[in-house]
Amino acid sequence: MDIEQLISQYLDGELSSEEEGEFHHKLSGSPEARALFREHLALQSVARDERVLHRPTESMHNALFAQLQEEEGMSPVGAMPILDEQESVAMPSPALTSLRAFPDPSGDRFPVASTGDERRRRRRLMPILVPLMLLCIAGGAWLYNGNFFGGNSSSKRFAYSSAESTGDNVPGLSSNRERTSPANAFASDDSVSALENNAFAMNENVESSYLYSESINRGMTDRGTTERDARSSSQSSRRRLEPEDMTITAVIRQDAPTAQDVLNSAPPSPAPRPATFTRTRSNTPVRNQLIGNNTISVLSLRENDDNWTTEAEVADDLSFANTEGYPVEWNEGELSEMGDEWNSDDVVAVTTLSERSESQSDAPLDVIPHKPMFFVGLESSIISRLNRSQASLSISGAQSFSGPSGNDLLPETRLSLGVELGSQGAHRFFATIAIMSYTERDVTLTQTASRVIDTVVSTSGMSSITEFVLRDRVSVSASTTVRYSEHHVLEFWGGVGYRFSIKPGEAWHTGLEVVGGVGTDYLHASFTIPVSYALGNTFRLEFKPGLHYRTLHSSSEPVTTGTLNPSATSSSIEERVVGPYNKQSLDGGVGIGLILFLD
Amino acid sequence: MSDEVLFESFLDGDDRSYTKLYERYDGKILTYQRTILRDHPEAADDMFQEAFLRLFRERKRHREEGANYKPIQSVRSWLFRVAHNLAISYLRQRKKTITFSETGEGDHVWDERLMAPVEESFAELYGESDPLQDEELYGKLLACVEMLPMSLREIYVLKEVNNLPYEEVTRITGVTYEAARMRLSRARKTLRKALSQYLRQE
Repeated sequence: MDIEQLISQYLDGELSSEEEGEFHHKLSGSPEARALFREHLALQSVARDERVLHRPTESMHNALFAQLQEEEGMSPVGAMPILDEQESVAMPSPALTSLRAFPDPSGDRFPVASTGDERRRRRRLMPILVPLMLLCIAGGAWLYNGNFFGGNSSSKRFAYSSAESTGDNVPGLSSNRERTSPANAFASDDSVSALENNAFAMNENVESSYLYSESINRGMTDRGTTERDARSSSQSSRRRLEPEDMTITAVIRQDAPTAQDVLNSAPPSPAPRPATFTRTRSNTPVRNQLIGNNTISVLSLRENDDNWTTEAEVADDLSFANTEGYPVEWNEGELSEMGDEWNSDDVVAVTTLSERSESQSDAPLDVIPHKPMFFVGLESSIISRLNRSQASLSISGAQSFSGPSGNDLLPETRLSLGVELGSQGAHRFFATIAIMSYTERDVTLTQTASRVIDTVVSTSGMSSITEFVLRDRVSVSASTTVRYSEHHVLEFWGGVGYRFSIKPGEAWHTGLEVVGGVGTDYLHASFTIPVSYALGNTFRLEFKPGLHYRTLHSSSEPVTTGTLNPSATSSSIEERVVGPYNKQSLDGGVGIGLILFLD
Repeated sequence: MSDEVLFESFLDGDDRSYTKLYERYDGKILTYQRTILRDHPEAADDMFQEAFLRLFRERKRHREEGANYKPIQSVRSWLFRVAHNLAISYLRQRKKTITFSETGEGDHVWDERLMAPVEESFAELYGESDPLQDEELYGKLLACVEMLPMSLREIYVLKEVNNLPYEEVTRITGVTYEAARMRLSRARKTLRKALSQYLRQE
């Protein structure tokens, strides 16, 4: 095995202990291998460093959370950045400052705004910096409150300006803050407290701010209260930093929802929209059922259903999921599963926000009928005569002739044009033209008789009667001719057909096809049991065993020729009978056809 | 707190848990999206947003389906899978031919010559004589990753950058374990060659 493959497997922990021993042996014996190994280790360490990751820009972050709030009912507190414990203490205004290392909004790929090392260094300094900051701030507040210099107006300005400078980013907070609020050295915490009062007792960082805001209790959850009490003892050192006369008054927005209101409020339900689901090509049925306020249409896609050509036009408000709960994407005009393999009987659920789902108990979507699919088919078949008959020819009342039976193979080519209708293409109507080539063998019998007609006129009273007496001409004897002929025939015929199909398998069709038509010499009827296999959704290969029945539509009749002349004493006529007639043929054979569906 | 606990909490109505999940995976998902949609960075950003929107909508599903709701087993795996689906969907919409999980690209047809373009392109872009700066290496690695064939870079980002186990990688991408292992090995080898001079200085 290649040493680099070994290294790769070693890095993944995929080597057995034996292989690992061998690997170590190779490393120990080869400086080159060791160098490679070191490079791979270095590469892996770079790849797994967070700095290699892209970071969403602030605008991306804001856009996402704005959409979540507006459309999905996310509470504003959910859109706030999360702070960890240390950072929340260290930063002056946790609620108002984004601690995330967003990259340059210009979209620079490799942000270094807040590296891991920097954060680690910052965290190491926390234990020193935090008490120092608190001490300085508390001392400053105490001094500016007039405990030392006797004035307090400037301290109010300081307190407010601190909040103002950062408060603009908090929704619904800064605009309602009173500029005359009491001086507050912990203005940034006050901001958080006010935010808490506005709704949200979810953030531990926010809860901790109660340590400094004794007069605030509205909107606090039980959990927050408990934690506050628990922490108040452990953080008493910080509490002692507060000046004794400091009070904090939260400005509460009366129109703001309480935390409980927010938690209890269900996400806004989207306005129902009419559902449209039209399927242009799929042979699988759509089942509909109502779940909640939504109509769920379930479309089964099976393994051989050719996912990429199963098309569906869906409205914007549809979503898909397969049986494993993974979302399934759809493209315009194409319903498709995004993974590489569909298991048998996978299901796509189409969720629609349907108006009808609210007004009807079952709210079924219309099952869209199968789209008519036009097609052109070319078929070539070979048939052989199974049975052939024609009327027997009687000669002199004793002998009879019938046509010879042959076992010729008859090639036939058909061109069909039609449409497939119904669910799963069950009904096919089509017109067809065909050319058939065969050798026709005929036995023809001709009987000729020459007779004399004598005219006898008799008068009786006022009436005159003319009689014609027919008698054989003695001088000319009757003749009978039997002729056998063999000639090549091209039979053109056209007709219409119908096929009923069933679909035993995803790609397989079978059924019964009947075609009737008229040709140059024969009337045609064929019965086939086609078996077809779909090659995608465009082509279908067909195997068609069947029977073909023909019967001659132009049969011979007895012919009499002669002249009847009443004024002559005698006339002569000639009678001729030509046969055979009523010729029929039953042929059997197989054909192979290719169907092209026109989209 | 595990992803699954956070997700449960989110389903119960805690939006902060969602934000925590978001912050846990935003960079990873975005990197993955941009890796697949290398030539469509704007689309990658949109798909990134869509993936997290869908995560949020799971709560709605949960409320609607109640006891019938089938919870997400692994949030991480689910997110990457959604990201994968979205990216492929976008590419298919653009009528691109992609061969993520087919064996055509990067498996048996791979040979050493395919590594040359990566190295050459990299050298042209950055030059070979520049001294290595610590921060630059991350950028160089990403630049090299983006030059890999798609099938390799997807596996590399999932397995090596995001440190997902093979089981999840195969579930997300749909490739077999063997194929994923081979692709990762090839990606590592290619990148190691391309960045060799810098890695030695490390």
